[in-house]
Amino acid sequence: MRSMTLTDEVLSKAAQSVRSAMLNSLPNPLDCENEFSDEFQSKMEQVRLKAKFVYKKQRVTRHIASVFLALIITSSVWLTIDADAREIVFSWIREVYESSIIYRFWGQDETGVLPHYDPTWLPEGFEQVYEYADEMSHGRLYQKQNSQSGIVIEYYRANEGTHTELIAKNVESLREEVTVNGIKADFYRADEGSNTNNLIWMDRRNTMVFMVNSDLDKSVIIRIAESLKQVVVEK
Amino acid sequence: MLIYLQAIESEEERSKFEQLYFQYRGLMYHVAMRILNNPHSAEDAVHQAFLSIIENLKKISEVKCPKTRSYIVIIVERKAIDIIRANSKIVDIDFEDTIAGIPIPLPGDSGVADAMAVLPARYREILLLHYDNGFNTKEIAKMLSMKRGSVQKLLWRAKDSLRKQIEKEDDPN
Repeated sequence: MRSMTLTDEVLSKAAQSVRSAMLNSLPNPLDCENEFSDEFQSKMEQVRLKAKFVYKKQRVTRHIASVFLALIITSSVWLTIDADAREIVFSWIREVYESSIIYRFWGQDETGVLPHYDPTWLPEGFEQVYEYADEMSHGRLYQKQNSQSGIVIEYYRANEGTHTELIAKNVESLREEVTVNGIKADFYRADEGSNTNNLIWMDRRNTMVFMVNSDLDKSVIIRIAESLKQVVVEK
Repeated sequence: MLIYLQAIESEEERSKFEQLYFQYRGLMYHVAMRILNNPHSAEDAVHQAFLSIIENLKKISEVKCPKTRSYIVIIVERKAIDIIRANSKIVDIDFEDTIAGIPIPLPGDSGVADAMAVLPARYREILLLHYDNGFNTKEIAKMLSMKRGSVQKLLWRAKDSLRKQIEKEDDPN
């Protein structure tokens, strides 16, 4: 032992042995059921919702749409394409696949400060518990105390190359056309194994995409969406 | 159904955090209880650990594998020790050198592994994260809420402590 040098290889091998010994001394994770307190479960519900936020935030980067399009065409079954919503300054298509729908946006890149939108109506008892914002996107999570219900309001700039994907089995069958303040919007009811309904619509004049995601009823979600107003944020 | 901005991700990746939560929350509580022996504090440690895990989801390639389980155990052990430290009235930068963490049985090589297993928790943890999980100092700094320079120093001290432990085992007198 005295002459042994602590090389990376030696340390890796030792660390592996220690890991095995440590894990062997612990019970199987499936044998560790515990009755967690209501307080813990409520806190963890917020963490789980935050996990979805953080994950999305990490994904907000720009891509070249044509490259992605090529990749998708070769790797998935492209069922339909809905390109009836083209405009000169802001156009989008909705690609329908077997288990996902992708909204892609093309347009003049908008720069400057991201406009700020606030809901002027929320169901009683809901309060903001989490928020993220960067130059391209903004999201907020609202929750009701002692409740599993949540509302996520997100919006982002639909600059050249941005896209949003909805993933669910037979997602197209979950879609229903609705309107938000007279603007055409897509409402996707929750699929099996989920309780989250999604509403998505675009404000072409301001090149913005909006989403409201919640377990609440369709009418409530639309009412929240219609209450969103642009506000000036004092600095 | 969830909406992902800019995402082309598999179903499995999307639900990684959910899988981790349901797979490991009981084990994490068990580990935290071993250290804290207080249900409320143990739940707090588990909660803190999940907050850390969220920020490092991308580093986890597979939910049900020994390396992930080890990473989860280390993070919750760390959070439990952080709670002890926060509640302690002892103001000593080397205070943590006295905290063993969860007891690790000797691997039985009468060498480096045995010496590593008996190191104070913070040294053992950083050696496992770096040499077994393969995280670099920048990644470890993020998961343990430390500065990168502090992680590098801690790694150096851990190896130094390991050398001394080996010498001690070689020559108990």
